[in-house]
Amino acid sequence: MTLTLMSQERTIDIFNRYLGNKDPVTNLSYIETLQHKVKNSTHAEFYIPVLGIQGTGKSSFLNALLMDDLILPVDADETTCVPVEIRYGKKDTAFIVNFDDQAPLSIKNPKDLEQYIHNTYNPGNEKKVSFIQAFKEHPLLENGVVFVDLPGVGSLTTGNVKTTLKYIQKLSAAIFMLRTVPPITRQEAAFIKSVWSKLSKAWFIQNQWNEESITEVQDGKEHNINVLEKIRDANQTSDPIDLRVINVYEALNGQLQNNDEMKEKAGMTDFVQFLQSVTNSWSIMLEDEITHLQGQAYKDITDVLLREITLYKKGPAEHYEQLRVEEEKLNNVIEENNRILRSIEDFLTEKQVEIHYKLRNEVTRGKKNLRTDMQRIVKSDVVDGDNLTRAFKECQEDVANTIVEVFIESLTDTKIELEQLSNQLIMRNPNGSFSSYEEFSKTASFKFEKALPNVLSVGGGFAAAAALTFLVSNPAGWVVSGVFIVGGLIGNFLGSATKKLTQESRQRSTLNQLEQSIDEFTKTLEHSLSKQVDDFIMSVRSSAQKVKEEQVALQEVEYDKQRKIRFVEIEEYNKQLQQLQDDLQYIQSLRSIK
Amino acid sequence: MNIQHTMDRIKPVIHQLGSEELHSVFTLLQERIDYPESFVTLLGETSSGKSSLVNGLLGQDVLHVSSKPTTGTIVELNEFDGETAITPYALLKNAKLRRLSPEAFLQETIQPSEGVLRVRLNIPKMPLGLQGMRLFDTPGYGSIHQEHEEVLKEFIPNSDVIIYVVNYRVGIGNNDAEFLQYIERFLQDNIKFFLVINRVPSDLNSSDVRIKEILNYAQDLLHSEIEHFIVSAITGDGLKMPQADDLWAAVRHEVQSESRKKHIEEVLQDYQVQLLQEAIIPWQKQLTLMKVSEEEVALLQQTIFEFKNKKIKANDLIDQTFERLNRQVPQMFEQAKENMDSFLETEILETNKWTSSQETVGLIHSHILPRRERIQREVITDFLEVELDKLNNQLEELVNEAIIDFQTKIVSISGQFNPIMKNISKLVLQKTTDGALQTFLSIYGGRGGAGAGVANLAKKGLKKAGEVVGKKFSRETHNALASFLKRIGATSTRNITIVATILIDSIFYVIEAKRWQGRLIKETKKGTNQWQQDTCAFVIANLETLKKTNNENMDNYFDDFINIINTEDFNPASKLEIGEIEHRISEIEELILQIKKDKVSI
Repeated sequence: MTLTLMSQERTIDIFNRYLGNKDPVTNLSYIETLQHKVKNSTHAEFYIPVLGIQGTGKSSFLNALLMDDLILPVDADETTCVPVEIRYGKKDTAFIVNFDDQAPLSIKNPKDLEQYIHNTYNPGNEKKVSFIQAFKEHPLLENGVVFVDLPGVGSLTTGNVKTTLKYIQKLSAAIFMLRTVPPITRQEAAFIKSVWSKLSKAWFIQNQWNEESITEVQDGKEHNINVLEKIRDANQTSDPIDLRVINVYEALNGQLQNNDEMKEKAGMTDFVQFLQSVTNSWSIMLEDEITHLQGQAYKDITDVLLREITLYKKGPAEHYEQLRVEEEKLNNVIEENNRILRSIEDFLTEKQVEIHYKLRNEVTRGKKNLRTDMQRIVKSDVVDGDNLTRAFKECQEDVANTIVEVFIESLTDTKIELEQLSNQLIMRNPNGSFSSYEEFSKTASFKFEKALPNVLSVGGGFAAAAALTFLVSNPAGWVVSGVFIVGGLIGNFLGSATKKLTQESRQRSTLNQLEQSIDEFTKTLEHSLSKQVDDFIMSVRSSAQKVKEEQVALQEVEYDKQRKIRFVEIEEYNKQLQQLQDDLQYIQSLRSIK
Repeated sequence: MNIQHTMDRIKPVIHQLGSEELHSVFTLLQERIDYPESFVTLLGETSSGKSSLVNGLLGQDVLHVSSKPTTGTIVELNEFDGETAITPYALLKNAKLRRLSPEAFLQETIQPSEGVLRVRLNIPKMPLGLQGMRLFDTPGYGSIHQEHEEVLKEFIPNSDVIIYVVNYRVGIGNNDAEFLQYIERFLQDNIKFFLVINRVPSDLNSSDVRIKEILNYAQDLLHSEIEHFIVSAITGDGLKMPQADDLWAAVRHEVQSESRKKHIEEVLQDYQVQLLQEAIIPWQKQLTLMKVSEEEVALLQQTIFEFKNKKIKANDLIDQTFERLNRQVPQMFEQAKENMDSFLETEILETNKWTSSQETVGLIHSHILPRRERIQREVITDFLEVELDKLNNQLEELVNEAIIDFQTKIVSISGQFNPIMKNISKLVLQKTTDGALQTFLSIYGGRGGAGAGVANLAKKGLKKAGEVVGKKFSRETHNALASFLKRIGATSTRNITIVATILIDSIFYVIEAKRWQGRLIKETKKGTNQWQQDTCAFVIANLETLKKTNNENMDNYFDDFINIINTEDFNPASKLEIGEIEHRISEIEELILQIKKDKVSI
């Protein structure tokens, strides 16, 4: 009901006249941002990707949760990395296979899916499948909930990180599948840490296998919680950790045999009820959020109008006094903000040097390891051909993985610290009062709000500052492209030593050829990761610079505004004031309808 | 004031106190000051010529040398002016010394008898001006496993200089590579590493391709630039006493370097301070008791009782954690083995082109098995790291809380407890985290003692940190944790290497292509099983030791606190008046200040 009011021409016009600043990130104005959010929320699908490394039982879990048969193939290979989206729909359209470069394909028999998601039939996703849609008439899928079966996030250098992060960017919540033995590994932890701040809700499911005893499960759970708490603390939040143990295998059996008791015992029933309540309230929560946002919008525009009217009603002497007070206030804020910006600059300089140093060290170390590994292998008479290629590839992968881990860890830690610094930046509310960005972001009740910069600060005229804090909270893009590039660096090496040579000469000649490849690989590795770090730091720097410029400009704007009021012709003055009062009345009439 | 002068002033202070314990500590410290030493360890493959180098140094055929592996035990060269000629001793496991006849000496170096830890040669005067060096010649890496455990655990981290010997003709073999990687994990910045390329044909120098190759490979393995020395081969049938004057000059330079001497001196000064701080305590205690009332003493005892409960709590936490780890670790190894097996089985079954048997076996041996081992093992070590790290944090928090609470309570009973409390925290932390001076000196002995283990005074001292309570505690435990994890890594790698080697031998004779796969799978499973058992047993045994150390640490920590302040069973050392005691205390405090000033000025 209220949504329509927001789209009325006069409302839009008023907003654009008084809160017309554009957000530098999205290039949307206040009202456009708001409209965008409203539109998104009404058409929103609530994505719940199921994440976890290969072998944690993601597909089995989804089969047990949503299907009444083994619909989703359970041994999908992570190297193909094709996501399967499960939406609400009638039974007869079973699957739609979507491609990068051709028309979608409809499939009835789940067996046929293997052609597209199994590595044997579709190695390295050479068929270019972008994603697969499955449909199911299931109460959990009502309200636009979409579950996604995502290929594992075990190896950081494979392309699936990109796919995974795509879903995380648009996500609403995520389910992480964990194991009991072994509990969360370092790579899993690194992944969770890097996406933690992007998740609005995260539920962790520890899959219990049948042979695992209660003690084992408890022990594993304790460790998993330890690790998750550590990640949470590093991210400086206090979100409770929701970890449940489910025996997926038993739950699946219960589902197949239609045995409620089995499902209950497996821990599935509880979780289904929980999900049901979350997804049911999801639309209500969204609506509340929109109502809240609109209320804020009306309040903001009213504040702006009232502030202007007060200005108009003041005499010249009062204007002068007001200008002086405002100037002083703004000066103080600018001074404080500049201090924060300086510490951000210092921090960036320090971090840049530190990360470069770290990467260089890791690469040097990795290079030496790669070389000694290859020495050992070649000296064991693996001197050419497929075996050597494979060994070289795997050794490169290991080196790359270690370095990528350092890269992700460094960027994530930098991000966390930068966020704390930039949260101290002082912004101006539309009503003219000031508060730190941290206070601002608290008013957003949902994390999905973070998908767009905070509209309030734009309203207050601190658009660049808002853009900076947004940028700082969001280095996922840099991480992903860095990781993606590294995946592409791992190359083949066949070796071409001729069989005519003696074994020792063959070894020597292979090692010489390898040396070049190793050198090139490690050089490019260091270069491309360092460049990602530099790009990120440079963009934060230039954003910080923009904040400085914006603040100076803001003072001018304020000054101009008041001067305009003071020196305007009386006729024009009256007209303006009348306009303001009309607009205010109109806005207030809207509020009363609401 | 030099360090000996200080000792002269400390002497009457300790004497006045009449404590036997502190007196013996003083004597041991004095011995250390008289004979500061640096540790040099010779490492390298069997037959790389380590013993020849020693003979060359001594200028006589002291160590038995033959083309077959010779040294079966560690030989220690120790300068001792109490001897007139080179005299051999056996160092027994019960920390006693037994003089050896020349025949017995030869026997012990080749095949040490039961109860002998290592052999020591007392040298009246070290040649080439190598005063202040204790040299250890070790068995080749190819020999017995346990011997090396000792080398790695004790000698490498305690060394000031490591001399690694490689035979020019043999080069860096797989054993060397493994050993150097092993060493790399223990190398800290303050260990000097020298590579000796031994038995080099006399017409060659550093520009030789092979020498370069050996050097580069070693540098890759150790991840650092290293100094190397070329020692020429001695031709002919006679006695082989290679001259390595450059090497020994470099060692001398290292051993007698000003910075090392200065460092040792600093450590000794720290110990002097510690000794004096301990000497203050009995006086302060006596003084305090003269000033407080009986009710206050009763309250003190009550607080001590509460404090003791915290110790129980800390130990419970340790017990629970390790109990859980003891359950989880075997499961994780079981899982790791299963993963390895199923991976290898798929791998072997999918390979049907066994055209080059040599190459495929080579690939499994040199790449597939070691890589799988590393992947699986890292899951386990990462897991242990998280768990033990968490335990450390919890203990640190618990201990800090307990102490702050304890101190606050005691001081609130009476302000008279203030001075003694102030001294206690400093002292206890030094004692427990550094391994108390007493423990250190009494276990490892001064010059007169047998010194069953090997511990480098300077290295021990390095672990000293500032005055900050928490930092020191956590750094200490963190170091211990890091080295524990490294040891697991090293052991696991070693175990898989053994498996891989056996694997090659076992299938080498199976020629029939059809039987290969089945046989190989069977053998691999046997191998991974062996790996699982050995490595898991190693980890479990080490966890047990770690748990014990943790418990002991907690006990020592809390008990030291309690013992110092406890008034039960306390016998005042003298019948002095308050004023006289106060005078004594201020004298000692002045002396401590003086040492600290001296320390800054050097």
